[in-house]
Amino acid sequence: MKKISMLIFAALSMQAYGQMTEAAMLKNAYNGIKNNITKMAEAMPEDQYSFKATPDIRTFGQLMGHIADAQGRTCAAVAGSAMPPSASAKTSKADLVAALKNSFDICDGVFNSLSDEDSGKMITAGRGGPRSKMGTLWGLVAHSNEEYGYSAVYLRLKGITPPSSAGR
Amino acid sequence: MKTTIVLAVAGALTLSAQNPLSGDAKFFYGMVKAEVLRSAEKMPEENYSFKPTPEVRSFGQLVGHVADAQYEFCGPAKGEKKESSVEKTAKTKADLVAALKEAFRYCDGAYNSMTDANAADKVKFFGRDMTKMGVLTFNTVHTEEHYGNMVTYLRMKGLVPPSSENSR
Repeated sequence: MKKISMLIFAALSMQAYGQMTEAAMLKNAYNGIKNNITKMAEAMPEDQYSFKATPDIRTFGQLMGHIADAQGRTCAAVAGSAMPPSASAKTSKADLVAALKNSFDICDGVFNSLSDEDSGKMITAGRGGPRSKMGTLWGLVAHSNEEYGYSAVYLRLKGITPPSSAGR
Repeated sequence: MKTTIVLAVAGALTLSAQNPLSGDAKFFYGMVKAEVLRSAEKMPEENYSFKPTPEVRSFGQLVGHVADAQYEFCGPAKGEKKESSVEKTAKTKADLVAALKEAFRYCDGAYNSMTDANAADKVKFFGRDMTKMGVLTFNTVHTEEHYGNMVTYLRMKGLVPPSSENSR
């Protein structure tokens, strides 16, 4: 529960002087997972980007590439901008950190411009749909959290404390 | 019979069209709920004590934590306060699966009663005013993160996680 308290505290402290609207809550959730994933990618050493917890799943680097692709493509579709190049074939830490940053740059624009007024607009982006713009973006945040959850165990297996547990 | 089904589907679509925001929030909750429940059922009893590294939660503790969190989030969304200590008290797989099902049943009520009209209602969460949908969606995102942990635990025990069962 301590973790939940911290998550909410972080969210609230960012909005201490603002109204906690639906759009504001979504933006905070996005910024929270953006911070965790960015720090995670930095924390894993280059030589462990090829690590996988078992043979039949993605390497750490492939997980980072998958997160970058899901974010970049979904946000580009929502924004109506050009699709970013796929990160799926990238293997170096520098390339994958750059791909993640690019995906967050695209998503920043989408999340920052979301208003409560246009959150119910129906769109088709990512898998399935059509969904509301807000539902699509919540789905993306949920997906990034899921992939972060896989990857957090990879970090633990390499003796690294995941960003969401740091300082506890 | 066929007419009934068609009418039921049409009715569901109409409801969804009238409630795009809350409808999407329910969709993502339903998805992760099913994945977590199936994971808990799929992991054999003897692996409930498994933890990839000594300092993290065992699989059973993860199941307990997810159950406790449902009350932590859905209680405030329902205007109630429910104490829960499944992680600390439930030990066997049967107890944990039963407690998890009960916790999701508790949350079902919160999600099911949400409409777009009441999604922005203010609820008290950790002493602050937040929206009902915001609190419930935080719950979904938090559950996704821990489902992600479970995925890697399952893989390390040679099991295919629910979200990949149809794709491999």
